[in-house]
Amino acid sequence: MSYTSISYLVFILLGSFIVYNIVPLKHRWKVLLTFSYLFYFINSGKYTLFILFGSLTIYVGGLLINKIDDGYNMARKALPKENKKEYKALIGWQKKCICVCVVLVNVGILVFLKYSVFFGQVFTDILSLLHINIENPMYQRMMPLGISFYTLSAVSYIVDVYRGKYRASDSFGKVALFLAFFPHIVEGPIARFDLVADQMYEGHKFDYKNMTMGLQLILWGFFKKIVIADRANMYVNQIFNNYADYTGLPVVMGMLLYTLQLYAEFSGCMDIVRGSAQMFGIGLSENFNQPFISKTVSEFWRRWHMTLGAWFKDYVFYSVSLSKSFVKLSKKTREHMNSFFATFVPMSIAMFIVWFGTGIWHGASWKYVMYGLYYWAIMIIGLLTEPLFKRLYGKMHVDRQGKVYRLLQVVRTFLFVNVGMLMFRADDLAVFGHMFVSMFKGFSLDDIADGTLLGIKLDIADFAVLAAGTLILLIVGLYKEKGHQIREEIASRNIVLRWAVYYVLLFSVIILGAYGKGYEVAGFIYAQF
Amino acid sequence: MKVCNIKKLLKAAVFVLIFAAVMMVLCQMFIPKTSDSEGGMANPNARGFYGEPRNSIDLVVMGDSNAYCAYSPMVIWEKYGIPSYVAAEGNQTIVGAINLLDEMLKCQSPKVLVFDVNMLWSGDSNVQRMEDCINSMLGQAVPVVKYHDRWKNLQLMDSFKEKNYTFRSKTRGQRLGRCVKPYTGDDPMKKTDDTDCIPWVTRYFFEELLKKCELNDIQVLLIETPTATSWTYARHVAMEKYAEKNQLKFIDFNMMDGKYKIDWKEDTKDGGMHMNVYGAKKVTAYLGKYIAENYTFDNKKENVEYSDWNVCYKEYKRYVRKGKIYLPNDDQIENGIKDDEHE
Repeated sequence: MSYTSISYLVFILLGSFIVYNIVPLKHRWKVLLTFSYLFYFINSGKYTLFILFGSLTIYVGGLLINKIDDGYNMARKALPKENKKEYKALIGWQKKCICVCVVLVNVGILVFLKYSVFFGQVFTDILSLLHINIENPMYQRMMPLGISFYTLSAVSYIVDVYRGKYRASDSFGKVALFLAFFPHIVEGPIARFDLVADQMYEGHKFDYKNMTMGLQLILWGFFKKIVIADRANMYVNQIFNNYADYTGLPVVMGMLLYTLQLYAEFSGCMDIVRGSAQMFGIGLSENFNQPFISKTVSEFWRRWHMTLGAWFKDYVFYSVSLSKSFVKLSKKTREHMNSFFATFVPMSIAMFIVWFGTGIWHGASWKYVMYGLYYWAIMIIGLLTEPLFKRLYGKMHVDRQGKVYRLLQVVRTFLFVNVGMLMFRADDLAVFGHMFVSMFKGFSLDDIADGTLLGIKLDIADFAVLAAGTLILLIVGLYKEKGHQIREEIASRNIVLRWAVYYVLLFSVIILGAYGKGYEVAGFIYAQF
Repeated sequence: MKVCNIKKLLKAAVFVLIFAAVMMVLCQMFIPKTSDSEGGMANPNARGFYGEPRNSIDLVVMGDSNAYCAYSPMVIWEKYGIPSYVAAEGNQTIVGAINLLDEMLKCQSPKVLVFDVNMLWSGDSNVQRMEDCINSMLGQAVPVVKYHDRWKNLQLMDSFKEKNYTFRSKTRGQRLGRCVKPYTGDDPMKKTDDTDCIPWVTRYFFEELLKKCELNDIQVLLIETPTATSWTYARHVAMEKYAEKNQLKFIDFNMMDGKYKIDWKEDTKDGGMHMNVYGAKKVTAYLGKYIAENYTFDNKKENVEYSDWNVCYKEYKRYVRKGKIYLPNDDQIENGIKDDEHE
């Protein structure tokens, strides 16, 4: 059941919205929980047990940590001073054991279901190098809906409780709702308990503004997904599924349109889920913040899939760089290297782990691993060459704050990102290599004039819609970047203008949408992760 | 209720009313004004009954792509003089079939509906089936949803013209194909202990279709046209049980023996999914015999109002006589040997 399906809109969203606003305030969270599990069960059937089990582990794990903390707080005053440190270390170790166990169980399930074939293949490949030939013992299993997303939320909960950021909830319903909440279960945004759980748990009165603003955001998401992304998908599929038949401009266009498709689709989905949540008075985190105006790839990743980047920063990067062994390493580098490399070496190792994790989180294949490491390599090269370029620009008197320089930085980042997208969409690394090279073969702008480009799945009218859609995305993005609250501004305009905007969007989706006969219905890409 | 809340609700109601009014205008604009493909009609071949003289079709065959490949109205016309039509669409949903029957009943009054049950199992899950059915209903109720893509060719002057549905299909809905691409897999109807049942979503709408037929005095004959890839023995058993329980007639062409048995090396055009025109002849020969023995129809071959059916039959015969096109492997298809398909 996709977020753009009638059954989601009518049976899940509208159904839960009506029931939510009928039942007493204190029971409203139960409506959300029921509909979330209903949505999950419809999509995953018996695999619902996995999310239920995941919820149970973090709930029990959290309560155990609470209990240890409470015991320590009670005993602390009675303990002699000399024993306090020892006792604290003991309970710290106990808490760590619980946290590690819960993390291992949840991540273990994810690894088993998602990565067992990949790791099995790696294992058999290594054996074959030793002339031991066996078949991959693992086979592809069905995956519960949203497991890659809710596992990260589950880990964040138990780690935050362990770190003492907040106390674990004593309500299983609250924890279960936090993981399974139907708007964010499929593609995120990856939720943090302290940011959303209370909002979900407390009953919200019907609020006309929340409802209309939520619907407005859902409509915008539909526009991005159905008018732009699903239209681009047809061209992209044709190029990537028949990559050997194309060279030059059609491949470049395929790469650019895939970037557009992924952005319009993923950010559109986020608009739909955030809009859905807003109707209930629940604010979910933003996942995109005009990523294509980034001047560096690290800035890009702070603006693209923001909740994933933040999760890796908080739970991988900090965990690694603050670990004992890493602190030792940093100490050693400071002793033996100059100040630049003393910082650079530990940081690059920690970043390697983060980007390896980011890459493989997207999927169980070397392509995704390389996708992550591609960004790591760019960042590392950037850091290494930064002093060199600084000196060079200084000598050349380049104004690094000037508009032209910043524009060139944006273009450079855009190109890097597009190459990353090419790798992301290609079937494997060999196909990526083939397509990357083929972009430079037979490149000719004549492909536009002679109809080669326009004959690939989309006609000139479709390209016109894509161009107009991209322009609208760009204008809206730039306007938001200037600090405007575009949704509030539209909502505050007079009724004629406001409704005109809504009707234009609504009828654009109905008439220009790439759905129905003649179009390939595309599922949400990130829902497959 | 507070005054401001009433105001807000009124505003919302006005918004919806304006939306509905614009949608009505758009529906009028987008609905095809002619029943051919140039006019933007969806599956014009399945809707050629609009162009037939009023109430001239006595028998209708409904189903998915299996049905429009496996049934030859021309074969049954030549032998029994029964004017029939295949109103079938690729990936047809049960609600789509109901909609199509509704469309047909506006201009035709068939006495018998031959229904290919393959579509009852279409879709991966009941959720998917439900969504397909909702989309079919929505497309029928709000034509702009179904025909929205016509914006590319829409001319303002033509948008509000009267409908003029005159397109006629020479094959009366059949899709002809002379290619032969054998099915090479195991016996598709090998007896097993597996069990199956009609999914509840499609069963519900199927029973609605049966009620509609009863209401319109249409007798129903259930069939499963031959297919080696989308039918199983378990489904056959499930369908037979259902037909017996509901006192319906059911013919499964996958279980045929003797001269009507399908030869999977010769009778399929795409490796077992669909019949070619030669397989369709075999299916229709049996079906025609069955219909002639079990139902009463006037032979209209000598009726001057149907004279063009004889002309179409000759064309059909010429096409069949051209002979088979063998497609031994996929490479040859890629090298340009393609089916000489006709509608």
